Amino acid sequence: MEIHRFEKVWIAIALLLIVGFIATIAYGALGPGVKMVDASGGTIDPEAVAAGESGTAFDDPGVRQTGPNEYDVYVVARQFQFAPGTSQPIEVPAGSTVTFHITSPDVTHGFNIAGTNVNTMVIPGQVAELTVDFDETASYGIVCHEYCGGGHHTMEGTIEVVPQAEYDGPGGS
Amino acid sequence: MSEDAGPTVSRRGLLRGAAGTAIAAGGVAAVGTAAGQSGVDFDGWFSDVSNFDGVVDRRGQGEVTVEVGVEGNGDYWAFGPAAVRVDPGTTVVFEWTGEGSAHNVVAENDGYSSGDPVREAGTTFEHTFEETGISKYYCDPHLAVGMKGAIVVGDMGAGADAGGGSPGGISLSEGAWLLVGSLGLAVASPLLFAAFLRYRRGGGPSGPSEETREQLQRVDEVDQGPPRAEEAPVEKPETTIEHDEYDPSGTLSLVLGYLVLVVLLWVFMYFVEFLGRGPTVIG
Repeated sequence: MEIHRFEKVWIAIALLLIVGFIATIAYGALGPGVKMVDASGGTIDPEAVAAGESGTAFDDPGVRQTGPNEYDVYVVARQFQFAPGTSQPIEVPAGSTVTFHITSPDVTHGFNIAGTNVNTMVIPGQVAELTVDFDETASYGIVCHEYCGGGHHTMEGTIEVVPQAEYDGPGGS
Repeated sequence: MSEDAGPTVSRRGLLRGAAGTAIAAGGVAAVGTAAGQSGVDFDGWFSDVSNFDGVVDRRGQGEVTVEVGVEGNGDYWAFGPAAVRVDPGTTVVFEWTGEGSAHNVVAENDGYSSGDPVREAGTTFEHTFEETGISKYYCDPHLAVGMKGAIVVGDMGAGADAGGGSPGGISLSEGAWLLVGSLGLAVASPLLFAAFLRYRRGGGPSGPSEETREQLQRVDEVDQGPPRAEEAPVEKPETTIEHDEYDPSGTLSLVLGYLVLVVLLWVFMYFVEFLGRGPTVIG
């Protein structure tokens, strides 16, 4: 079979693109360290979470300090609010590494820090666990992106990343 | 319900109007009945509250209980009862049932609030209503689904209170009539057109037109059927080129153009949109 030299050019281009795409994924994983949300959060009894008797930090959700610059944030997403997040903002200092633990006592919700790729489903019985570096002072919105009922469109919250100097520790919930 | 249809067009109103048009077309005059009034004008506050059933009279009691989280609005997302009439100076005790997730009580205008939503059964919140009037309140997480209530303080509108009623009959604004009318016209237009065609033909014999019949007659006279297509003569190519001599440079430039576009989109999407915006999931 005879292949025209122009055809050879665009076959080479297509192959290069594929190699480029794969290289991008590899760079994302190794360079900035982008991770997928996996099953590491484990499971939990949604009834117990609803009753506040799960024996976990979800009974008193909020921010916990776990290291010099490391925080755990426990969030219960329920119809139609994030606790904490909706009634009072989740407050963390700039330059911290924050691990979110999110679960739902009722129906499937979503948790997305608007405008970023911090995004997970919140499934009853499952704990979504994801770690995020907050480098700069900012104010982020949280939105629920899984239809969860009549008030879904009102379900949102706030994360405040405040300067280190102004942060006065996790205020509980 | 005490809601007033007003100048807005609700879907139900529109359907009701459409049904009314059908009735009117049938030669029956549609008669609108007056919307029922519950004596107190809540200004549409209860229009999306499923368990609202008029104003419950609790006058003459020093303390009145309203349950937070009774069945309604698709779950345990309601206040029971939704609307209560009390004497001025009455203390209303809101008592949580523990059903339907976390609730709170937030005043629409009057400043009182039970604070953050809580779920625990037996939680209470008290507020004393001194001033005569309507005090509207809601549950913050469930406002969108209709978890709303009101305290009517004093005797305003009492007596005429018959437990609410449903607005019946047809009350449509001008715009709604226009919409319903044009919809009806659109549905009726093919029928009208068919009637017009039938009228124009005057019930005469159907079949091919005069012109077509003449043509058919001519074809019959010639008795040759339709003309046959002649085959086009095969032309000789002016020049013949070999495989390698043909350079589709236009196609090549198109391919290179697409390449540039794809690479630009790829860089923008991954490095600017995905990685470049704010924090990212790292674990």
